Amino acid sequence: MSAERSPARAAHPAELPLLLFHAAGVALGVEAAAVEGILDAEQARRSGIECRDLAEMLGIAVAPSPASGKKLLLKGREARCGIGIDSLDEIVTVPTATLQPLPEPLAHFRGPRTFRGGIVRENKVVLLVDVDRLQEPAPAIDEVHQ
Amino acid sequence: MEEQTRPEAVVEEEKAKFVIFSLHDGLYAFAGGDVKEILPALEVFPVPGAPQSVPGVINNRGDIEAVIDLRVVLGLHPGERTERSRIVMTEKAGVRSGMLVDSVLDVVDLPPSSIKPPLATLDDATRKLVTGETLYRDRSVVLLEVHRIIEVLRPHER
Repeated sequence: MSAERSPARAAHPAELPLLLFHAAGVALGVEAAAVEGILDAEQARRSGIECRDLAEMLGIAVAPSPASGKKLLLKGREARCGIGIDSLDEIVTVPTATLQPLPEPLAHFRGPRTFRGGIVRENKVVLLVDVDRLQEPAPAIDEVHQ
Repeated sequence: MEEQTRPEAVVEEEKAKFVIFSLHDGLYAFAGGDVKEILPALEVFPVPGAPQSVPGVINNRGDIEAVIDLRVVLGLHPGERTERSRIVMTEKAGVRSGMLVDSVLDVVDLPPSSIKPPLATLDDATRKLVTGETLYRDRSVVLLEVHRIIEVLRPHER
């Protein structure tokens, strides 16, 4: 029996390598394959890639996060973006089946739709960033404050 | 022959269960059939960009569920969570949600005749969520419809 993976199976792997981090005070994760690099403030400046604040991108106001100065360089299907993060936590591999979609009614809001879902890790909920949606315009103010 | 008198038929009303809870200084209730469980006030994990009425999600034994702040939905004065706070897990039309309330007081059986139409004094936004009113220990209880709460929280397509 061949051990080769079919293209369809490769597109839906059984396991998902994730980079876990904190940004804007929230526990987040992103597919490790979407991470191009981790830059300090000076490297980010020299790279010329626009690095934005996650809270600003989502149109939310949060207390200032600890200034780690670290930027996560992410690559989506069409473009790169950099986001400021509070801290890097760990790299983990989780079964894809453990990824849960955001529940109703959150799934309808553009801000939360930036997250492709969440996982439960050590009894805490970690939200997974969808890099392509992260680059969409910030949600309208009236939607955020409903 | 002596005519027998038939005993008068007594038809007992079929009662329905309601879960009574408090919010601010008022009493409210959900239909018991819509309530799946009552949880302690678990840690709420914020979801960036979510509306104030849905402050985040909880880990309910491994399931990620949304939490709805009923004080915000009903336009009540904001309140702190206390050790009496509870999350009432509801399910209606296939949608599960946790409703954050100040405390759960009781589960009661009510006959339909004890439920009155919503008070005309309710504001329009609240009246949309209310199916009726009843009394519990001489206090007015507002009966809320879970499905309507979920509906008003959905943003309009734009």
